[in-house]
Amino acid sequence: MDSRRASRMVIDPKVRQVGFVTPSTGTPTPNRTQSGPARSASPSESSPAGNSLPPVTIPPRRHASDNLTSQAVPVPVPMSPLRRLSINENIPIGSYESSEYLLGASPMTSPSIKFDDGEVSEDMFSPGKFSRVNSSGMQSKNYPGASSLITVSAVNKPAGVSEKGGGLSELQNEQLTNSKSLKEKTSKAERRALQEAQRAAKAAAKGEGSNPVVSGGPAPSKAKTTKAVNNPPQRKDAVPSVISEKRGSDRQTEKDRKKDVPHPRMQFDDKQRVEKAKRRAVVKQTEARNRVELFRHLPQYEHGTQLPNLESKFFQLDPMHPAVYKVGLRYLTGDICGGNARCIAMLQAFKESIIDYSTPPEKSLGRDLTAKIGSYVSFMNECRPLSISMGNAIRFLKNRIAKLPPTLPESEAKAALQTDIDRFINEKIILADKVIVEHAVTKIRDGDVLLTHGSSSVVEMILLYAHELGKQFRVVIVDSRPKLDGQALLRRLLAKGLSCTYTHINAISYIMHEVTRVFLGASAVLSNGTVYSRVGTACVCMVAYAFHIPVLICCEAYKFHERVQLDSICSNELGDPDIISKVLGREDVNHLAEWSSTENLQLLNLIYDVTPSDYVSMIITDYGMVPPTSVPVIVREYMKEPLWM
Amino acid sequence: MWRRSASFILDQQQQQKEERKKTTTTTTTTTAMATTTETSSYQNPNNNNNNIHHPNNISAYYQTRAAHHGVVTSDWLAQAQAAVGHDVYDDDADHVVRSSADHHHHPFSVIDEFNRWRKQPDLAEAVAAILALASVIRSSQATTMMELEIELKKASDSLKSWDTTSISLTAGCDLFMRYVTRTSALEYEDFSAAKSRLIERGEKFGEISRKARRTIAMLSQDFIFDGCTILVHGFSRVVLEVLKTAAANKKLFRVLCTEGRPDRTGLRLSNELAKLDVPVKLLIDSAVAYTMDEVDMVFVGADGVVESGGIINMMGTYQIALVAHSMNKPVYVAAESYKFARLYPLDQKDLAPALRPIDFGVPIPSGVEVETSARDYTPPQYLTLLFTDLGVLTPSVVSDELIRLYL
Amino acid sequence: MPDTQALVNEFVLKLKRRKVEGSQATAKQTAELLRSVISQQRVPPHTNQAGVLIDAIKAVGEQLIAANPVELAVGNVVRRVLHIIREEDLSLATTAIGGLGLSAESDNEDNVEQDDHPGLSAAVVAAASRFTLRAPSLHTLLEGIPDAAAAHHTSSSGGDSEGKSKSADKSLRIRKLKHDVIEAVNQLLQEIDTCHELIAEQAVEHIHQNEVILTLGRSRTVMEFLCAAKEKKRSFRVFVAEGAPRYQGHILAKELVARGLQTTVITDSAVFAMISRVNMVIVGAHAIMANGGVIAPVGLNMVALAAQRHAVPFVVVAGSHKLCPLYPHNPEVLLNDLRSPAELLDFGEFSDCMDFGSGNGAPLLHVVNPAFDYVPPKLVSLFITDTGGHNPSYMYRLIADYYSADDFVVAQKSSAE
Repeated sequence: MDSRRASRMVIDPKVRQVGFVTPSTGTPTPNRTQSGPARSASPSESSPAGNSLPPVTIPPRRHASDNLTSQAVPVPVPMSPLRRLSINENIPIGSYESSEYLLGASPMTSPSIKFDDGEVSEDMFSPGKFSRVNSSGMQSKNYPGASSLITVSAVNKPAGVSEKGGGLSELQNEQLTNSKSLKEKTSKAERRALQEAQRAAKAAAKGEGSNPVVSGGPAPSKAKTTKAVNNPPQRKDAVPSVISEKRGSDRQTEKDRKKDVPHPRMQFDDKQRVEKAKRRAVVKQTEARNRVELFRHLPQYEHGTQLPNLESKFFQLDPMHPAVYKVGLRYLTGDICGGNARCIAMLQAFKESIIDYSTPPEKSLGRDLTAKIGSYVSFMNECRPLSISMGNAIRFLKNRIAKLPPTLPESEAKAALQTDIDRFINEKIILADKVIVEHAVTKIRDGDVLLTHGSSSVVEMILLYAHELGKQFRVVIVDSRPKLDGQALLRRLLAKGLSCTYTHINAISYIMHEVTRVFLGASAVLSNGTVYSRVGTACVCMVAYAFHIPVLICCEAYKFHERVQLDSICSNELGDPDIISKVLGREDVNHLAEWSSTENLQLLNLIYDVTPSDYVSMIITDYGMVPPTSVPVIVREYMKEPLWM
Repeated sequence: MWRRSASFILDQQQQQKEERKKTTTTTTTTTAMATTTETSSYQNPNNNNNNIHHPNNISAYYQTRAAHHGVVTSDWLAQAQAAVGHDVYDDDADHVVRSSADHHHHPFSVIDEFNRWRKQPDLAEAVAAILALASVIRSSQATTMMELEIELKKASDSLKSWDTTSISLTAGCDLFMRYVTRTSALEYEDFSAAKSRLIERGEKFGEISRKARRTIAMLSQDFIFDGCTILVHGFSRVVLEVLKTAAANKKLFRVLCTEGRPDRTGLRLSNELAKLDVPVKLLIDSAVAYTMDEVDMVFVGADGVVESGGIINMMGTYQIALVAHSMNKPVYVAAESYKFARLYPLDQKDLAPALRPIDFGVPIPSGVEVETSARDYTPPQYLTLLFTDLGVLTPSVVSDELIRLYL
Repeated sequence: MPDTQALVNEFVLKLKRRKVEGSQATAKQTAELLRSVISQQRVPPHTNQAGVLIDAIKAVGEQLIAANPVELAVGNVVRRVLHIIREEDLSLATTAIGGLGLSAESDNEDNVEQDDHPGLSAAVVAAASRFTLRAPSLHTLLEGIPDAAAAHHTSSSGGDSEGKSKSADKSLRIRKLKHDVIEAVNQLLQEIDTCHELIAEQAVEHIHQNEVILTLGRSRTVMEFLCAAKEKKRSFRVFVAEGAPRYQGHILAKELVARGLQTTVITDSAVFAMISRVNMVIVGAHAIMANGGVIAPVGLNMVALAAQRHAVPFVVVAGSHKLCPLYPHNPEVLLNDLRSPAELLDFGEFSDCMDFGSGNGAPLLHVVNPAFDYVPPKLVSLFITDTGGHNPSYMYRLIADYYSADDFVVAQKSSAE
């Protein structure tokens, strides 16, 4: 323990200066409370969790990794290991480092993977070939059926493809030596190609032409060349990641999880990085025409343009597992929404891909699989920025992979991982929800009027369960644009015989007079107690607070995150702006129909907002009912638990 | 003339000094002395010695008038002298001022008069004060407006000093005095007409005050809606009238009464309400915050409404208003406009405490201090609306009204 | 008379059906209607003509107010017109007194000077009658009811005054009163027409360069206010919350964009998220109550709370015809309009759900779609009216200038009678 801390003192003196407290902490005072924050080092973080870290919180598990850490000590990089890692990789391969930014929404995913496909094709067809299954809400229970979307043969077939892809990438691995100069050239070419593709109306045709790239033949088009040359970085990724895993997979994944602050997320106003990220994206996005100035740092893309292209690529996309691909597309179309549903879908897809996985020769399962998962993650992130809960789940999975004993036979390892995923889904989501429901129901009295906003699966379960228990209460569903997903909830509740009042968010002050409790879900709860949730939640909480109505946030603990956030601007997700000008089910409202391309007019479709913790009376988690001030405690304790189980 | 605010401030200051002097110098001052000092200081106001304040019992009102008019006509001075001259002062310890009637062996004490009126259950203090002042006029032997004014001023001063803590008493006296001043200004010529008019108006005031209560009750009806829960604190005639009217209008509402320690006036209110078949629930004073979430509005009366728009009322009002404010419940004040007083307390200790013995039921050890103040000041930001006979007002209107009346 | 009745009925019908949109249009049409009522009203020469006019207006006003009690502009204009009649009558009465050689200075405020005019009592009457135009005050408290009532009677009934001013030319006065009143109503109409410009003129004083302004829904006053600032070469950014369920924010955004303003449309739910980057909230109002509270398009209370949380000034722009002399009680419920649920839900889609009854006939689904919000005065930073900027706590005074105390309860009074 002590040796480890001492070593840390050596490692990050700089870091201390970055953030926390007095200069005296620079000296190796064995002050436990300070050691916590000192470890969490990136400038974006000011983790209160770390600040108040009592001795207890230092995970006992650390002992196991201590020797690993001390091995790492001699490396005199004055940064946290994660950063160090990426730097190491950066030296040989210039383009690598941006991948971690690419994973903006899943900050803890290892930066070792990036998947690249030079597809540039801008089909302007509307999305929607996928049958829309309304799978929000109760999905946590019925999710596994989701694969019914695509025929089984489709699912199985690409397994071979992925293997083939693996072979290809190995091929490309040999070309690895054609390093930077080539790469730079191509990147320019690619950029040009990109732009052209974006602008030209015939981009679709081109894309079509470049699709069969998998065969690896000579490039018929620019886009294709870019792809062919662009693949090497991916290959390279695998190599350094292997090294890094070897050197300290344990260290990186476990110690750093504790120690490292979340990455600074990708800032989309950083042009260089955006360019780089774009180059290796599977999903080619067109930037929205009228971007909202305030949100330049967030991706703002044209919506609805990528899907047909991706769909057409379904059978050609080599390294992507079909299940992952399918889930990604469903994220893209919005078929799967809601934190739990998305998370479960992702984990299921990973599970399937693990089932189909076989370690390539001369590779270790641990490293290769991590790389693969990483590529899946970056793909999904392109489809829709990952939620914080998904980031947590990914972190869990990578941890598990890293923890696998290298001697374990492949089949056993795969089985272990599958059970791990199932356990995560079961314990962290399904069971957690049950616990939350049990807790929440105790707060519902007869005669209550419960208000909820949007559509949260947990809240729905709570309401239904309370109804089953025979409690007499009324539900007020407050809905808000753009999603209007309260209507779906309303329909389901009505079908179960609950008495409902439906209104829109503007009428919240009107309806709040009669409300006695506000139940809300959350996308994430951050460690300063703020609730990151569907846009409008903050408004609801604010009004409830003004009326002195208790606000109960129902959120599984796996959605807690040590990041902090003060406003809804710095980190958010932007939805399709065109939805703003069109109102669902209101054809009469089309005042902005011809105006959306006007330069002065911007349409902003925020997906999330941040509710200050003082508006929240209670957070109901699988750990019980806690005040928002205890979130950092849970984050801390939660992290401490080995493997979160 | 009166329109300058400075005069008013001075008036009050001097009044206070005067009162202090009254208590200290007491009865030693003779009529003769009064006359001499009077003449010496006011003989010629232009020779600068009118600023010297002599320990006399000329009312502050009288002095400020001199001081602020600057120019005193000989006519005026003569009247003043005459007025003081044939007045007999007997400023004894209990501050009973004998008016000119006393001179003619017809004992008349404004305090007694006031107390007599005050005994009537329906009359507020301010009304009693005005009635008492009206009877001062009636029994006055004054022959000019000026004499009458001075006489009245003395009577009202003695009334005010008789109970310095009563805000509505002070406000009532001030209001009446303002009225007298205005009437005398308007009807300067015809003294007897003016006098009878003053008496008539003064004696009608009881009715005015009753009518004011009815007006307030009417105005507040809109604000009491069916199914509401009203919290009231202590006993207030106006609030009772409001609730009575609401009950008579067949409104369905529930009342939570605080106990109103130490004199338990809340019990009395609950008693009255129970007679009206209004559902009542009694609370101990400390249960206000506990029950506030089921309350729809708070209704309180007021001892006095001060310049800021805040109110001075029975102890506990402030904390109720604080609780209500923090829980976004409206606090309505029902108060007749004659309770508007030119006072501006900045905090709780900035007003003369009205003390009252408190019975704790058990013997209190001698070393233990007991807070015996009977009322507190509620700042205007915690009040939603005032229901007065002038209409429904926001607290900011109070100052407007007072400025218009006194400046 | 019959044709005015027809006009009245027509307008009542329109109000009932909520066909008149916007308080400005309502106010204007009401004023026009009342003007024609006045001009059509036959005044018998020997009666109390002001009284006749007042009664006529009250009768019509009551119908109009009852037709749409939520559209407070109707009541406001009725009260304004009543006030105009009273004032014109009074000024005629005082000039008549002045013509008789009495104190012509009685226009001065009440506690008048020591001028030892002989006919003081007349001046007192005039002064007292002036009072009655205002709300009762501490002044008049002791003057007492009989007096005030008498004075009031004098003032409102030309007959009494005429008794005093016997020489006054009656027929001339009759015509003059009517004429004056119509003139004044015309002035009122003009005022309603030009209030936007007057308000917009003040825009430069409040909107600074590079500011970010947030508004919700659409208000013409707000639009002109913003455009006026834009015309003065201020460049700033506007966030428009769309104002569900009517989505009038879209129209506003379109208008602003057409005028070259940088406009961003956001959803209503994003108001809290965006308000931290906003410098000022500028919104329109449906009506301003006497306590400084605002009846505003639905959603504004939420915006005001968010603005308060982030210490962003919440500015309400409104013409003076929106000033209402009433104090709100339970305004969320009583001064609200519940609009069609169809704006929120497609009932075709939910028709199957409608059949689920819980047995006792009570429907399971309620849809609430209120039209207005009440914003309490403490959440409002500033009112900008055509007479300048005012604090919420000062609104009562503006109202006292515009309305006569007797008319505050125009509807109840006339219904009681």
